[in-house]
Amino acid sequence: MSRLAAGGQVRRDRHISFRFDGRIYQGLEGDTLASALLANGVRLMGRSFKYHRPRGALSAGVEEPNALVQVGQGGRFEPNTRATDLYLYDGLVAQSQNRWPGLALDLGAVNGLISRFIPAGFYYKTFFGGPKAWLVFEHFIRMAAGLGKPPTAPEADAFEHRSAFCDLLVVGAGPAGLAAALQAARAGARVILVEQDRQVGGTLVRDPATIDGQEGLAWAEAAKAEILAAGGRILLRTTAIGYWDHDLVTLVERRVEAGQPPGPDGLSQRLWHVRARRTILATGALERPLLFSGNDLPQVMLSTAVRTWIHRFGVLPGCRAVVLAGDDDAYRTATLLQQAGAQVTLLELRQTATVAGQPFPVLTDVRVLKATGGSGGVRSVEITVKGQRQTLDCDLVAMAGGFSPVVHLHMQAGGALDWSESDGSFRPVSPRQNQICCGAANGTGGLARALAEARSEAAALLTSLGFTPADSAPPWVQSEGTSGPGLPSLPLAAHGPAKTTFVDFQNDVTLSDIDLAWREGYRSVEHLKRYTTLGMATDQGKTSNILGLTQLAALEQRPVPAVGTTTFRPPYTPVTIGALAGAAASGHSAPRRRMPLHDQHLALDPLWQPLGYWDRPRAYPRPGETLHSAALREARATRTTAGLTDVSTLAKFDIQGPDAGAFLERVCATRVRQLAVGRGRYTFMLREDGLVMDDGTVWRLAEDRWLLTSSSGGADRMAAHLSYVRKVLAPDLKVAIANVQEHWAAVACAGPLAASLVAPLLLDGAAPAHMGLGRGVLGGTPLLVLAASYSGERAFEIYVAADQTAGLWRHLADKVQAADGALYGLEALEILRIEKGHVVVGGEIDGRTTPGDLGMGKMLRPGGGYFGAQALQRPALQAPGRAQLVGLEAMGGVIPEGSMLLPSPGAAPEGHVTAAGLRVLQGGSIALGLLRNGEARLGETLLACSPTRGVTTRVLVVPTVFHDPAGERYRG
Amino acid sequence: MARVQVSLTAPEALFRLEVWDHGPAFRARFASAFGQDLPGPGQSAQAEGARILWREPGVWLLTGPALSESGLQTIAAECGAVAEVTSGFARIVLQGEAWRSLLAVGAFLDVESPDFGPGRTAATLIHHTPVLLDVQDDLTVVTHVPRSYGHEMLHFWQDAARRIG
Repeated sequence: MSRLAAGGQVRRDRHISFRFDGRIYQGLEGDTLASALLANGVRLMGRSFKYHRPRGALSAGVEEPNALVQVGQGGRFEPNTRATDLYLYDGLVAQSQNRWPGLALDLGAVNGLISRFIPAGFYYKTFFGGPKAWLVFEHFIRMAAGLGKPPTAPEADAFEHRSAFCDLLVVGAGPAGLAAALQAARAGARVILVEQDRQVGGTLVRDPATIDGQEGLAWAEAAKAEILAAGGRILLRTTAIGYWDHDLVTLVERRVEAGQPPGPDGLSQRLWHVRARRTILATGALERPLLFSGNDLPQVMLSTAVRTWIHRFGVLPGCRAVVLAGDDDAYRTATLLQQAGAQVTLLELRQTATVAGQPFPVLTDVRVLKATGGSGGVRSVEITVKGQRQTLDCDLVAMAGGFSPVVHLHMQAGGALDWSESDGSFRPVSPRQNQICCGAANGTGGLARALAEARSEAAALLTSLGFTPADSAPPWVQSEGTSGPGLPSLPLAAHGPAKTTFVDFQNDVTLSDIDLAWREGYRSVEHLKRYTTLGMATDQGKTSNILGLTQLAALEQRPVPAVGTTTFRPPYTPVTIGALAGAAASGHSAPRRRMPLHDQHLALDPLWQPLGYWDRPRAYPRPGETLHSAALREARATRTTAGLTDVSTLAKFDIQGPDAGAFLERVCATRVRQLAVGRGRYTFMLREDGLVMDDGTVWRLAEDRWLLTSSSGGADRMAAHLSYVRKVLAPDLKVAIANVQEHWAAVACAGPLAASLVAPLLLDGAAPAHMGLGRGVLGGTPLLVLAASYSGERAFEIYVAADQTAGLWRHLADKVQAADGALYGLEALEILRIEKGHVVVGGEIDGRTTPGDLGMGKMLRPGGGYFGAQALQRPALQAPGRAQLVGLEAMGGVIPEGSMLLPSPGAAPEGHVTAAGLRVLQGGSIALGLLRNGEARLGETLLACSPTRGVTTRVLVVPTVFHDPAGERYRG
Repeated sequence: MARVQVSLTAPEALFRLEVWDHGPAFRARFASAFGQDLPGPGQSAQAEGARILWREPGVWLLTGPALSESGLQTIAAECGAVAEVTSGFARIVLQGEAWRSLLAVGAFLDVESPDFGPGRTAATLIHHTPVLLDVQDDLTVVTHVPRSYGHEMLHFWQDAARRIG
């Protein structure tokens, strides 16, 4: 056991059992999985992606590239979870990943033996051959690809999206972030403070300090309490994953740990959308590893991680420690290790020791050649001291390679970076949005300086927002615990074998890979990244990007900023798909719109069809019927007796005012204004580019009142279009446009008997003539009856207030069924309209067709003046050779929906089938299609070919109207 | 007692009033009928026999048991037009001190702003659904949801309310 007898911030009275790779261990409350494993002497926690090298924890935080585990079971399974960022809970079950059959003995490690044959980009040079060869390669590539297993069970818990707004968002509750948030809270601003850890304090949790006379963490807790008391919001275990345009910051709040059952609210994670007037990024800095052969062995870890294990978790990770000092921060680690009882040797990589009089051996001017060891951890390091070779036995190597400010969010917000040669890091400059960085994230080292900077920056932002910052004294730092960026650090250099000197630990990118990529001409950092996969793993290169850049710069013999930086893309740390989906992860995957008659349809147990967000009946099959046979029965009943269908989803607009007619003539491309009161007309509307947008009917209800209908699927688009025309193009018209799609429900009654069924509902007892309207009443409920036909039969659309629809439906359904008619759904509706040659949005009105293409050119209003009229005159829309609507009749067989129209086998397609159906009463396959120069090709024979269905049918080009071309049936 | 309760309420007559001429004649007729002027953008008003909600520029919704389309059209006269939309909306009432937390779920609106209180309206999208919010008092928000989305939104809010506790 490596747990120290005392110390740490864990609760020693609270033991937690957990399972790792099938074995049961004990940890303490406050432990992470990694600290608990180390406390149990478990050093091997994972295997690397490519070479399956044994790995332990490199860091103690979110930047961890090595110790990735799979956590949880069933619907709570989560792969690629960092053991260093996973707090213990009772019942935690974790497994190592990317190994077979086990972690200690992994056959995949054979890749390490053949590593010289599989360097960076080897697959670009290896997998050549024809399509069949690729199928073989693909099999093996897929076997090797991916890290961890994807979950297979449905999510067990709830996710939620939530918004928040504030004056000041502070990301990071370390000393700087706390000081900034405190300043804002005292000024009365709305402040949100976000911390990825589950406690505030940042570096204070690993490096003791004294602030304002209090121990560092006590100061942090007091600051937290004051912020909360002032009404501020503090989100712990919450990571700012992305900074988007217009100062939108997304946060992921972990309500429970990965794999942990949530509380009574059932909520696992919450995705916050935060818009702040100003944002302070106090995201700290990450320590860099050092480059030497074997730097990836278990027990070779970051210097700050060692301090975290000891001070926060009370775990001594090794007894014989070698501390590699690339900067002065290493001395803190060496001191703490010795105080904890370890035997320490500090290897100063610089020529002289910067801190004299240490109680442990300090060797200067050291070159680290190699670390040796295995899956049990590091055993020794080979070094040269002033040119003399030595080997030091050890079980722990701490690397202090300098610090890199966490600038990810700053870069995502469009900010720029400036290179600091002295400490070898990029610092944020030139913010483009309302964000600033402060503290270690700004390259400011030292606790006192960070606190002072945060306080003054926050004060400036608050003043710019109109607040008066409190004139309190800045936090007084009596004991400085934090170092961080700003320390002079050694330029990175490696001296051992490059093949085993790792730059990107997670993707197994070595120095030799970078050298190879450079030799092969990948000089741009963006090319280098993609060729080697440097920085492309789940850790996004948090510990490797700077190392890779400096190596590339050295090869190029150019300064680091001259070779550029890579792009920092969201998310900062991995995010579960559930968090992104939010409530849509389960039952609310998409809103389901219910028709007013939903319950009535449900009682009939129809086949449902989603249409946009709507649920609509597709057919009402009787026992033993298929969709096809039910739809055909329903269509035949409509042709022979009567059919009833629910058309409530149609778009409907109540247009009133003295200028209503003028407005409609701006929108509709057909004649409108001459329409008599009580009459209606088919119409269509164009887009600005002259192509058909939608179609419907327009009815004159009164002198100054009209009803415009259009397609269900285009209802929202049409509402927006009418609003645009009204408010932008015709703001001076005296017209009111009310969207009454949901207020008015409608049923359509069609068929030879329809008029006799509907007539009793009308006030005058007579069914209106085709394209006429009438008023009716049923049980005191007013009805509007429009004589319009989509089916080709005599038909009526009967409008009623939506909450009164059930009575109308029951009344007509009884009558229709008593007359041997049928209720019909969308499938029959489609069959009927195809036979009648009616176009539909999405089929024939496909965003590419003009009125002329659809055979409706003669309906255009000659004087123009309608939306899209000018663009319709473009030569390309009038040119010969355009696809035009035609009818198609099968000469045997069935016409496949969506098939190509070919003049002969193998010829280039000259059109396509937009909708296929059948003659309802006579039988035989028919279709509508768009065919080049179609109007002039009636009588021609073509092939309707569907390679995907493997069907080719010979078809005859015919007029579009198959049923009652003279229109005698719908006129009654 | 839940911190916020979500319930469907019975529809009350609802009318859309669009005004293109806000001249003195219209204002006088309106003031005579309701004892006040139309509320400004983002605001609502409780008038005699009607609650009046600003909907969009030039458009208001009026709700009240005694309102009728013909009566309102008389007030609008040549200056505007009225359309009944009673059946077009489901009214879902959010009642309780946590209504702001509830509305922050799935929405993108600063409902926590102290400015967004009684007498304010807002049209926004929540869970893909266009919703009109009417803050009636410190504990009550009446939402107007397109009828077809009513069932979905009721359950969406009830789920979220359960998580709020």
